[in-house]
Amino acid sequence: MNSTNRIEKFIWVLSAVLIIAAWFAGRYIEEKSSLEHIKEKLSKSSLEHIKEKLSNYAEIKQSTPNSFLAFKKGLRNPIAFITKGEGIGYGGELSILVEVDTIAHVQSITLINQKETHSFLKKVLNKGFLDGYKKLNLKQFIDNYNFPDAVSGATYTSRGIHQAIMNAIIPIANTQFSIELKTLNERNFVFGLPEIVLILLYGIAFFLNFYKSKRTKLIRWFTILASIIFIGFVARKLLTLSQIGGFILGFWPNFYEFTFWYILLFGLILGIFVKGNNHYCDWVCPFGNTQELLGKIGNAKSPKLKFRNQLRWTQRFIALAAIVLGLIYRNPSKTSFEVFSGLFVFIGSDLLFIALALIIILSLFIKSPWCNYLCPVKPSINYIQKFREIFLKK
Amino acid sequence: MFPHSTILGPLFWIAMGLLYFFMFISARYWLKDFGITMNKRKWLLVAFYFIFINLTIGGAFTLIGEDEFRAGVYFLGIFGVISIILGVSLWRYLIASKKA
Repeated sequence: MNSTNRIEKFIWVLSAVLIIAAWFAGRYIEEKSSLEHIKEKLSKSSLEHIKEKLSNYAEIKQSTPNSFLAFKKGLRNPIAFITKGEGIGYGGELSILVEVDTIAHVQSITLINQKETHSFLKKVLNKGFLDGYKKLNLKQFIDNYNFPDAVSGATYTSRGIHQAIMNAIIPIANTQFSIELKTLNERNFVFGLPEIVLILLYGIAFFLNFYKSKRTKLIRWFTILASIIFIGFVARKLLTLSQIGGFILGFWPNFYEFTFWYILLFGLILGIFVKGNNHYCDWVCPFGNTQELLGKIGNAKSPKLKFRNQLRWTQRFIALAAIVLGLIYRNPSKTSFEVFSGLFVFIGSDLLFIALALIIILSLFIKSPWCNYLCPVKPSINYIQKFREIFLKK
Repeated sequence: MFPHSTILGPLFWIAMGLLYFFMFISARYWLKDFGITMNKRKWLLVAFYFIFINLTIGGAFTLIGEDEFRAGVYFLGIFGVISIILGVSLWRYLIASKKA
């Protein structure tokens, strides 16, 4: 047993070293927002008029770190202004290039950098979200204009794109066209039913940690249903590997808009450091609770596998590989492979839906198959629990 | 179904009808052999489940047959999974009385 603990401690330390190394490696190879990079992005744009214009531009000069002037051959005055704006989406920072002509009309919008989950971004772009901003005069951006509504099921991505467009347009409107556009107002503090249910679930988990209750079974049913309905289907907020990667990358979003995540994180860490328990997986996670509910329906059992330990370590290594690759490519959502979005948001690829169907059916007969054998979030949280076990020994 | 024959179609449906008939008749004896006591409520639930299964398979393959392959597959996937969950629930309910 002693040598097993030493091996586990060594692997824990090695994993930490790998994550730190991946962080620095990703930073080194991360593409900078250089002029060459922007020209390359513009030349690869599928918009024909952009390509045509590029051939007309004699040169593009950088005027500020985030804005560029495009000149036609022989002309001294610029014929277009290209500005870069940044916003915070679901997976992290996203950057947008906005091209504005000399009469203050938006000519094109190009997404140059993003860390969003592919299916969510695809949904937003397919709904023509960006088209709602094109051909607008900058004067129309003054506050009472009806901007495109956020795409249902991809709210954070829509808001992030909107924020990036506004951040691109506001400086150019103010400096080049003397159009006074106000900076985006800070959003109001978001605290509603999902946040209340989350606090309640954590509260119950902590309460049952310290006090035994005769009604534990009834309380458990209540927490399962509350989690699935309010956290899963209503709020549609689950902890994913892309968020864990985002936190490691330093993407700590605005507390007011993302209150839910801060409560989730706080409750999780508190549970780990108080009693070493993973309250998120045990009580809050709607997908875990869905599997538990299905397990109760089908009388699921834990299979007695000889290679159970090997499966557990495989799950951990896959999670570690996904985190490391996400850090190297500076895009954790690309290596995230959870199937939750198929069930609660009905968004995903065909492969995701097939995997989800198989997991749901298996959950009837095997106890929490996703949680115990595939989920990358559980080993990530177990990693933090191990920190407590190794370094904060009781 | 059988474009080059006028007799195979009707024969197929006669065979399907016979299959359904034997299924209904033998269900009662099969459940009895399994030791499951049935009552009107349970028979009603079995009947509803049977209709649900038929609608699922019929609906999915109708969509596929009408050149809506993707819709048919998604229909089968979603309602197929629901059918399996409902089937397991129904089975657990039926055998619960057997244990009692």
